[in-house]
Amino acid sequence: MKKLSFFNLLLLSLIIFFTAGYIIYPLISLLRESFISQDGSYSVGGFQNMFSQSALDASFNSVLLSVITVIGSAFFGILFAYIIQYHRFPLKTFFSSVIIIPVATPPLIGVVAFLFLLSENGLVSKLMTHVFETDTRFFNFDGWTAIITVHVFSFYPLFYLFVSSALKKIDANTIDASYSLGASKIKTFFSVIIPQLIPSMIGASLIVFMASIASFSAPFIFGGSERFLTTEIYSAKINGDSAGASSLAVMLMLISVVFLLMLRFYRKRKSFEIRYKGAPRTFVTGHKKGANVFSFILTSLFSVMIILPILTLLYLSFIPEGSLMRNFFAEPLTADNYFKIFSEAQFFTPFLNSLEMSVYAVIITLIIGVSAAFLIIKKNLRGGNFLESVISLPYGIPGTVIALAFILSFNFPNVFSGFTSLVGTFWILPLAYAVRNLPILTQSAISGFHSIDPSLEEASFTLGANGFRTFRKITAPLIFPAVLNGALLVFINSIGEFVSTILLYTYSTKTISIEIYSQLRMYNTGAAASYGIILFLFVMIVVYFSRKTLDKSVGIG
Amino acid sequence: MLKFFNLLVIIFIVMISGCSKDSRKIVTVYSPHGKEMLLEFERRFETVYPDTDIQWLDMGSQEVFDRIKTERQNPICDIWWGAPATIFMRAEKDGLLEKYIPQWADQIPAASKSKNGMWFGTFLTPQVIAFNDKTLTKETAPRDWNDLILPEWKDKIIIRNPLASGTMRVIYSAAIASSVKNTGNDAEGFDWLRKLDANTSSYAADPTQMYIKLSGNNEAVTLWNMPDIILQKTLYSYPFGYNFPDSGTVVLTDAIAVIKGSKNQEDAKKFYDFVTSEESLSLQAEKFFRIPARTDIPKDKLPEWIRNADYKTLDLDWELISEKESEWMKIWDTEIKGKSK
Amino acid sequence: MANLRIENLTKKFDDHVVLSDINFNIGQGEFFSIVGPSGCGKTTLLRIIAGLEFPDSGKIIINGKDITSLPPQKRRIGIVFQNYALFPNMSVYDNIAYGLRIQKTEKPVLESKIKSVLDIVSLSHKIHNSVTSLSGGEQQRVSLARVIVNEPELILFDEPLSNLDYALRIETRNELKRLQRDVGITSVYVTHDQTEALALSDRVAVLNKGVVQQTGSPDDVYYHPLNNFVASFIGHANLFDEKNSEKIFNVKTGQNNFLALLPEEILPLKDEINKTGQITEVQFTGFSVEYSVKIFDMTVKILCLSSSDTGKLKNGDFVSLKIKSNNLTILDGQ
Repeated sequence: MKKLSFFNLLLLSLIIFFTAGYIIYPLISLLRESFISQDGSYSVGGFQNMFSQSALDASFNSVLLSVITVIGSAFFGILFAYIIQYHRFPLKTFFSSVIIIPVATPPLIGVVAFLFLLSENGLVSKLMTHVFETDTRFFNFDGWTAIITVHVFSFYPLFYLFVSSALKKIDANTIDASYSLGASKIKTFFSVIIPQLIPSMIGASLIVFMASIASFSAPFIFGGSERFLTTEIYSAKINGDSAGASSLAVMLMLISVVFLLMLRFYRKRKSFEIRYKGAPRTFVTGHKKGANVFSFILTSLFSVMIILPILTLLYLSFIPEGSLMRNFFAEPLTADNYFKIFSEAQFFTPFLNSLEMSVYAVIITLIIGVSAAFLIIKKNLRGGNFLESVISLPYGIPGTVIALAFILSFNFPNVFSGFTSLVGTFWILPLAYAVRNLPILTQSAISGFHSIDPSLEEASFTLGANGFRTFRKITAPLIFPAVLNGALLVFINSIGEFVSTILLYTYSTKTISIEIYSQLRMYNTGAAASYGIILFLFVMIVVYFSRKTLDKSVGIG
Repeated sequence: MLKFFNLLVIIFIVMISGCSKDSRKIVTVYSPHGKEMLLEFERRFETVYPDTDIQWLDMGSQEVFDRIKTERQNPICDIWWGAPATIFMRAEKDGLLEKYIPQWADQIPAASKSKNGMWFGTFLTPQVIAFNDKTLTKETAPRDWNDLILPEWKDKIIIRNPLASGTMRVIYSAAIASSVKNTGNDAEGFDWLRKLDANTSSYAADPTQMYIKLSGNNEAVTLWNMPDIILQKTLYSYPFGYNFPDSGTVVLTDAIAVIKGSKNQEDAKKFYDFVTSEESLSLQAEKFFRIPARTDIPKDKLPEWIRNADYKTLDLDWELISEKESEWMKIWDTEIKGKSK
Repeated sequence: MANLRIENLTKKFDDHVVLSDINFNIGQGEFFSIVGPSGCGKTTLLRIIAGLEFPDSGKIIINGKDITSLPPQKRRIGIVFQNYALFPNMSVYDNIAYGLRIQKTEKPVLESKIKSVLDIVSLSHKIHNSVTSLSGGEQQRVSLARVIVNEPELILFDEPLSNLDYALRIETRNELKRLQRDVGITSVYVTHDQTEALALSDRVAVLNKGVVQQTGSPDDVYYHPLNNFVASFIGHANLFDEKNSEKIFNVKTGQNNFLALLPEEILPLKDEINKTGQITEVQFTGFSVEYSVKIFDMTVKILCLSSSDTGKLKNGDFVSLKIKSNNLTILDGQ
């Protein structure tokens, strides 16, 4: 370990303060609360709660849901990664960006869009009624089917991204070799391609599993009488059973942390790699025309299915409020919903709130995440491994649990709440977002620092630049792409955050997701859809400009 | 790259400068009464008192209670407008409320107000059996509580998730309370709930989901409050009808209270008086379908549907309901919900 | 073992002609090389023979049977790739067994075949290793064994030695030649390294811009190139136009024709009087010396034995040039 300068020590104490105050302390409060019985004394009652029949049901359902989500996401993710990597057809680049749109779609928007598309009063059902002039409602979009559909829609792009980056590393010659050794396409797919994808599939499965088990919006809206851990925590909290909620939260956290540990273990393992000079051949040619045409059709259809929910939202944002119960195909399109949003200051605040909180969350994660990565990688901090584990802990902790832990920890003045009660204030929200997203940014920064060739910094030192100048001129531009990518993800996750927001917001801190939810509650579909579209467009614009910035910034391969 | 940072800085400055607060005094209202009604009274109040800014948060009554409890160290809400009296009873017991006795206190029946002047009833809300009037009529729809648990209604009933809904919690708790009153224990009540669960096809996450389902073709019956049903029918043309249960119905008292230790009690009390004035109550009756709890509102100031509403009120032990509700709901949640399939 | 005939083969990618009217006839057990600069279409040709690409027109015939539209699985053609293309998820044994298992070979037969093929490539001791743990040369031998064990009718080599370092490349080249002779399978070998092609092949085809420039035995294409391209690509020959060949060697080529001279066919003689040519660069490689001579408006490459008298010239020396052999190659400038 190199000797730490005063500035480095300052950074270190900041990181320790943050992790101790906003990660470890809230989790301890949560654990403590789960052992407090109704009358306020410590007991194992909470612990028994964890193993009550309904808690076990909820755990079982949550795990089952996550497993099904993983399988469904794997199917679509791998299928389209394969098709897009190995076939030639027009508009391929366009399609490959369309099918990852759900990654940048806030979960609540996905849920609302599907609700408007497929529910009993949704667009498809109305269209059927309109076309066949019957009054039969064809759909009962609810319960497991609905949750799984929304989950697969939201999470398959994770699989797609993991698998396509692994596919890009597969040497296409191995596929040709297999064909020329007499193997059929299917045999080749299962004995040559899939085995080489296994490491990335394991990674994708674990991440999708954790995302799915922490998911709240879909089970909350579509869950009906089914129990899931996240919704049960919310119910218990609402019922005033803080201890019950805490013990369920501990349960959810335990499951997630087990998966988080598996993920870390998997990351440590080496993947298959053969060393040779020159890059592997990655493009595959020579498919019969039929296969390419088939791939084109399949991809087009799928892309339409991916944008359809968003288009539904767009359409609904342009029909008059309250016309959903009538035959709205006959109604004239109008931009009234948007005028309403933009004309009333009251309707505009949630948007600014979301923006402000997300920017703060990004700033907090940037400061803590980049400093931590810097100390761990560049300064070989003693205990760096432990620090990294603590920082990545919130990745395995669902938003509901973080919100609950924050309420329990910051409801009274202490060092970490700035000697006031943080509950009900503005700052508790960006802090919750920051804690939940800290692992993402830290990991991005770590991979950024890893990718820098130490000789570059040494070169700068030998040219007479001091540490700060080297960081500013050499290190910062080189880690910039990785860190910007991380910051972008943090921003996207925060701006549409619903899960912890619903437990933490107040009047002055209403966010856009809360506004969408309360519009929906009042069945103001037009307003809900308009807010959804604005949020969606905003995220897309931010993603677009970040990409452009990334393309321009330096990258040394 | 620099451009991007500049952009961030500009956004940041715009945001900060956009946050300048106006100098009006703020009254924060938590209420489940819905956006339309809250907006209406915010405007009306702010016209009369231009130096006050009404900020309201619209959520389920149980959520309001949970929040006020969570925020007790640092109360944000000044006035709590609307929730079943049972919840107010618990809030009173938890010491969350501030004593305030309005001028019309005597016009409220004893059962609909706090003995200690902590909260007072605003509306009376009879609960009804609501149905889809495209598929059912007043005659074919269930007419009494026990009709609901008949096998013919299997999977025809949609219920708003009772844990987050003050209305549903009271209806469910009333079933247990009646059972305690009639038989001395809660067994019969839970049995009824178990049979109801067996007939329930799904639990809706929010009222809107429930309305959508009820107007669909699968489910046709729900339990809900009468004003909301009429409101939805009138405003959004939902195909809803309703029956008052023959044996008598649960009549909820909706109440109002000032929050203890809140920041702006003075203006909160002005708002309290404003929304419970004779004029406001008849407007609420006319426009938002609320039945006033005050007995001194002249009949001719009330709409026809209130004058004609003919229902029998079940005599219930509200103290017991208030005390036991959480416990009963937890038993329902862990032992009954979804188990009878 | 088979003979391979390619008739009038043409392939385009979009509008770009990659291969144009290719014709070959490769005999049984022959070692045939296709050599050309990168981008000349040689790999595409190889992939078409393997069935990994399909031609726009033309035929591929093995043993008289037209296989043009047959998928790769049904062709019984093995390929050895530049980067070996071993299945990284399998051991040496499983890689080699892959094709045999598809043919449903019985286990005892399969095992004995694998043992004997590993003996041939001298890798018996690594039978159960993971392929990722092998060195480049070992990987290439596994890749070859994986092909040979299936007893294909034809083996295609796609620059198999280019990823190896120099010493290993020479060693493996010799090994390959020996193996091909012992096993006797018809082989088509693609490379951009003309030395390799000349050293290994029975016959060589020179390909440029999708067109076959010349087909013939190694010494045929080396000593008797048919055009400028072959002359300069295969032998690095110096090309003198009509004017220069007259001025330097007093050889009349005829209008628009070129005199092609291999570097070792020119003799530099010290000449301080005329000062026509001057040595501008000397590269000593041990066995030989390579000179660059600036003469008139051109630079001539000359190769001499370092032990000979002419091998002792210095940078800046003035020289005149003489032709060593009587066998002059005059090309028509195509």
